Amino acid sequence: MDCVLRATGLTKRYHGNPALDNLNLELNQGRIIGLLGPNGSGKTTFIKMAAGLLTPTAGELTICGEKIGPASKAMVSYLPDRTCFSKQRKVTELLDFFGDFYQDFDRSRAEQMLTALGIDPGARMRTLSKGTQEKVQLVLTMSRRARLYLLDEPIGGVDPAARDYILNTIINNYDPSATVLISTHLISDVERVLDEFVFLYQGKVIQKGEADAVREETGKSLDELFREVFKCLPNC
Amino acid sequence: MFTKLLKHEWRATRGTLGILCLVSLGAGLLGGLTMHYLIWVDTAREMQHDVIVVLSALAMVAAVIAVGAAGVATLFLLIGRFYKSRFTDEGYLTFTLPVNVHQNLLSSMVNSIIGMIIMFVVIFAAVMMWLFIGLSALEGFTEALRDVLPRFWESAHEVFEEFGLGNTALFLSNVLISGICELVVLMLSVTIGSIAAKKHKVLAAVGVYYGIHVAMSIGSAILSIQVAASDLGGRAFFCYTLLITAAIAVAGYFLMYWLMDKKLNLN
Repeated sequence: MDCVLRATGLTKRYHGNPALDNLNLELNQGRIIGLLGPNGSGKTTFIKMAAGLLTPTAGELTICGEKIGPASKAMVSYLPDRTCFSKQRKVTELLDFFGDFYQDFDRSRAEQMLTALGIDPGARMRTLSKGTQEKVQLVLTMSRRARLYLLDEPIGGVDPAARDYILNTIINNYDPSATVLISTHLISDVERVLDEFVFLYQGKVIQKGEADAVREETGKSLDELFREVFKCLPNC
Repeated sequence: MFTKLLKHEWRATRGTLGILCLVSLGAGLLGGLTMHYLIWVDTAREMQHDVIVVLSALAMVAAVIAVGAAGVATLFLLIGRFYKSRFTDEGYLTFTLPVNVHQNLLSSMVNSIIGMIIMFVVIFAAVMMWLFIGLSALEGFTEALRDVLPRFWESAHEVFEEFGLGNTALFLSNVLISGICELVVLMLSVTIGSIAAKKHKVLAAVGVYYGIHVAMSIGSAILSIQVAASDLGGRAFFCYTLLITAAIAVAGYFLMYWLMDKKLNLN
């Protein structure tokens, strides 16, 4: 399988404190991977670096062999953990925006998803509820035919029904040849969709593997395994 | 990609810029009409409507303030757009676009320059409209205008001939480069303030802006003293100023580039 993301000795320090500590990781094509860890484990830092929002203190990160830059950003579809669209913009303007900048953006798919959700494309973002704004953001992110989807806490802070909707949207709309990296600590909710998992703690990978294999080997769900692994560690 | 960035920068600011232009033109019209009325009542010696005269005078003051405020608001709008689209949550979208840092920076700079030029032209038009409408209350204004305008152009031509094409170009370059330098300093202050400060980023940007201007003022004073003590003429002084201003603008731009490329830290 082709390696989509490769991190080598990746380190990020904030005022001397390591958020990522010499992290090595490879993610292969066509997998849905859970980046799992307690708060402050470095999940968001790692995803932001892959998206090009943070510069590493040391180490290297490549997406499909490209260093982080315009070429890698063209292949990555990133869903941040907050709404990042201007409140003044109309949904149609955002569709135009994505269409202009991303060659892999499928506008008709986005419009279909918006219609299915009953979101008026002529509405301004400020007139939509926070939940609907997040759905617009998810729709736009998943309407790209990207090589790598980086989803930072896509189900954080939403009700269980919305979680199911979001996960179904991800499953039904991502390109099967693409890789999806989902960062979350709500493991029981995402467990069913994951092919692989990566446990992150204090900026390091402490365990990773195939989700089905680990369930068979240990007889435990990922959620149970997570609780077991992280309860023994300090500051969790 | 650069033209697309520029298009979206323009789309994001054109609405408010349009409103500010209309405010300026409206203020110019209001100022002109009130000036016209005040001249008319003064020349006609019909001062019986004291309240209207006072209200007209107040309206004229309000028009002056509105024109000035529209100019300042334009600068705030453009720098505010730069800050908001790069260093707030909107930066998560801007910095994940498949564009390089030069394109990212230059699109904002070019859009800001275009916005400021538009506002400058509109304010000039508003002031001209104000004077034309206001002074048309004077008796024989049209005849005087017919007489004055050709003489004005004649004098302007004479001044231009005396000043020379080279000096005119140097002066205009100085004005343009100074404007761009000021814009770069503002954007650099916002960039440093946003990247360096954990909280109160705007306040930090204001502090940085103040600091840069203090440093620039000290540098400018030293340069002026040295030029005054030397045998340099006015033209050489203009050249020196132009070069130094351009150097500050270029250095500021590349510092901003480096910060965004190597030190970006959106949190």
